[in-house]
Amino acid sequence: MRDMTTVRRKIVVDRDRCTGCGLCQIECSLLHEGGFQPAAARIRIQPRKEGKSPVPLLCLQCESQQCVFVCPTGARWKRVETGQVVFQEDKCVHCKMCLLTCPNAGIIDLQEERLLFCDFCGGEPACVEACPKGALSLRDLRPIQKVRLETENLLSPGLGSCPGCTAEWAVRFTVQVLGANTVVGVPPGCMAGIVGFGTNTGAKIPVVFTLLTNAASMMAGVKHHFLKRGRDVHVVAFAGDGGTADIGLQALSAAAERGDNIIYICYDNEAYMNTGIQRSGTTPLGCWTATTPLGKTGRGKKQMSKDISLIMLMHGLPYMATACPSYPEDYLAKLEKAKQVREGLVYIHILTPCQTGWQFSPEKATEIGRLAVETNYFPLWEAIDGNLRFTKKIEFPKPIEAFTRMMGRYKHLTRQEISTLQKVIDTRYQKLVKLSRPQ
Amino acid sequence: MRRDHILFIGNSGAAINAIKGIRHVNAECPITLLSQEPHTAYSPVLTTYLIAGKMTRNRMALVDEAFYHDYQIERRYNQRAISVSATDRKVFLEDGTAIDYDKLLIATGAIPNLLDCDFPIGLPVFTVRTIEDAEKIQSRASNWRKVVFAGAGLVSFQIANALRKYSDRMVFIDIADQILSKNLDTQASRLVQRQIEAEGGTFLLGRNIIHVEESQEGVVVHTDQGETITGNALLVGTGVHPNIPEIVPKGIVKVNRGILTDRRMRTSVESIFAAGDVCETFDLISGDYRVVSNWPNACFQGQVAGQNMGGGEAFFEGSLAMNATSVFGLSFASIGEVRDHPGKEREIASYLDEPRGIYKKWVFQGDRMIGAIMLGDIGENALVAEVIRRRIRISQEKKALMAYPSKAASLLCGLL
Repeated sequence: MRDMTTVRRKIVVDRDRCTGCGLCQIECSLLHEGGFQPAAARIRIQPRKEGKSPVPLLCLQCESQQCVFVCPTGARWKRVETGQVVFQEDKCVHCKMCLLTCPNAGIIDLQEERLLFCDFCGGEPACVEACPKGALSLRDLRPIQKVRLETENLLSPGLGSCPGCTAEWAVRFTVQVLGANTVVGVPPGCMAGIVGFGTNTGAKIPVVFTLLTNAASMMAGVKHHFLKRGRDVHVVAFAGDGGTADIGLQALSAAAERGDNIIYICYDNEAYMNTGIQRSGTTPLGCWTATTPLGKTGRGKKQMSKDISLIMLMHGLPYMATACPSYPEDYLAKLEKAKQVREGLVYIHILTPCQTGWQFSPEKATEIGRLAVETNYFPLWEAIDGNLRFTKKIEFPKPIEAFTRMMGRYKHLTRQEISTLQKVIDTRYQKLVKLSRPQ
Repeated sequence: MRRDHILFIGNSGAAINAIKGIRHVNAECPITLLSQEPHTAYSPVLTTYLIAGKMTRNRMALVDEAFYHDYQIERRYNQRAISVSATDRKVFLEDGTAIDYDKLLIATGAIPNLLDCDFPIGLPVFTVRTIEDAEKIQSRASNWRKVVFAGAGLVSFQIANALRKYSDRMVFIDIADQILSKNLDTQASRLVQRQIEAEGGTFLLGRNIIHVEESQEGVVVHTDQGETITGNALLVGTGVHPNIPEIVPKGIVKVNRGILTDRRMRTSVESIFAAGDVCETFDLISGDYRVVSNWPNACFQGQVAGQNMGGGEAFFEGSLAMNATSVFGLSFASIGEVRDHPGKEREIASYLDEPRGIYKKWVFQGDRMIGAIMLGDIGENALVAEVIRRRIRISQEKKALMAYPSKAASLLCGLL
């Protein structure tokens, strides 16, 4: 089944970072053509008009791999070990079928009857190493594929979430990684509606319905019950931002202080989405919600958001982290660490972009999550015994406008309001940087 | 996992991709493949390359022998089915045996159109579709000095391009008033015609062949306007039509021009599927059902049919006419709906650069691009094809393209 193997590693393009310097083309042509011939590189840089960054076009090792399916000569095929598409130039007759069907326009047509394909440089692409701005990077898909292929999906399909819900992905992925030996507790919120509770759940594992005020302490009790019975069970509380930062905070803080060995995950969609998008403690500055409306005087939320993850950091937990569904590898690594903790509470804060409340169309969710990280709006870090370490270092953060302009809840922001928001984000990030320095 | 017995009639692009599609969702079900031709699958795309000598017979195979083994396919070559019973789900073979099936895929492809007129058997009149056709032409072509082509389309030009090294005179006769009438608009076809005329081709357009006779050199062709053209051979490249096998139970399986299929590539009978050039299916741009014979569509249709037959679910996004080729030193590409249709609400941006021999045309309907012609420089074809295929709404880019039709690449690249 050689054409059915999946891609293991791929090149990821961050278009906003491309300056069009052409170093990738030079390296590529040096390696493949043995000379300085940017036009014969396996990557093309399409300039755009003033003010817009150029677009690098290359083979992205996509999953559809239509070039393999349409090639009438069999010159394109997949390598079983890596899932990479291989090209045999001597077989190719330049019929251009692949060119017309490539979804990424990543095949280079040299006019002298030659088609050029990215060969991934046998594993270490030269263009990625050459890129000075980080517009090209490598992504290893193997850990995620391992989860997808080798573990059981413990939630049934067709749960009651809104289409494109990232929080549903988060809970599905979490229990998939933690395994069947898990008990999940959900306080009222979206998740109670998505997973269900009692005997009417969409899960193959027990789901406990806690009160909004006591998710942490109730799950701590569940954990103690299992400990008394001598059973080692992962006990997870899956609470929203309201159930964590506002109503459930005292229970969480107390459980952290007592050192109850549960995994507390806060999926943060930055408002009470389940009840109709009311403001919560983590709703950011200037953001529209149903209770912070726009009008003659109202300009969205007047207060800054509560930095709940820093509050939790000060509890000196054995392990805590922030995560985002747009970076599944990063989240996976953090979950694996959380699994190992045998003493004390683990806190994970996931930013889950909410298409209903944030007002964007569902297919943008991944991009928005990524922009939240790339603008330092939501930095990804972890802390072991209170020692903070960034897991995704953003060298050249994007302006916050790149994030805010993607969604309806920020549509009203003026330039001044954006710069205020930018200042808040910068200050918070600097605080984190200070904390991450070794004493 | 269902263990339906799946039977294939046909062995080319659609069938091979259907096999891949089935195994994508179902590793267990037994698959049997019936084929009249005695070799492994190959693509008719390559026959003109075989004539040109860019391809050899050994390398024509689309997949190797190991493929059939890996994918666990039972092959029956040189087997002709004589009838299908849709109610009993049985296929009867020539040798009197019958095969039971649970799902049947008809992927018999297309056969070339022949001349309308009758002509005596034994004349050097050839069509080009199979390996055998190509080999016949290849073995004789070195003696041909003057070749007559019926039809001025892509196939004719590709063969003509291949035969250029032998014959110095080529005459193209076509019933339409312009060449490449299926692929290009008037302006672009005029440019291509000029290029081919400069290379030694002559055109007789708007004429029908009424009679073909034997002559000392080879053939004499008579047109309805009284011309007689002699040549060493007559090559027929007037397009193809679906090869609907006689065994298809007529009246039960709906057949228009091709076998009618829905977006799951299922025919009007639940257990019978069709894919490839033989079927008439959803058109991406117009939304009508029609026959679009080209290789990539056949491959995608095969994949969709395979996944549905294997027990999964997939939908065909719609066929899209597209072509990119290079003949007589001129490359051109056409994608989607490009012909001039008076009376339809279309907006057109085009530009012509005579000295450099570049012509581009972008066709819009509403705020979507539905067709494109590139001639001389086909650098944008991949980008444009994707913008058309994904049906992206491009109201802003459209405005810019109407003003600057030459800047397509830089305007559209951000959309992918």
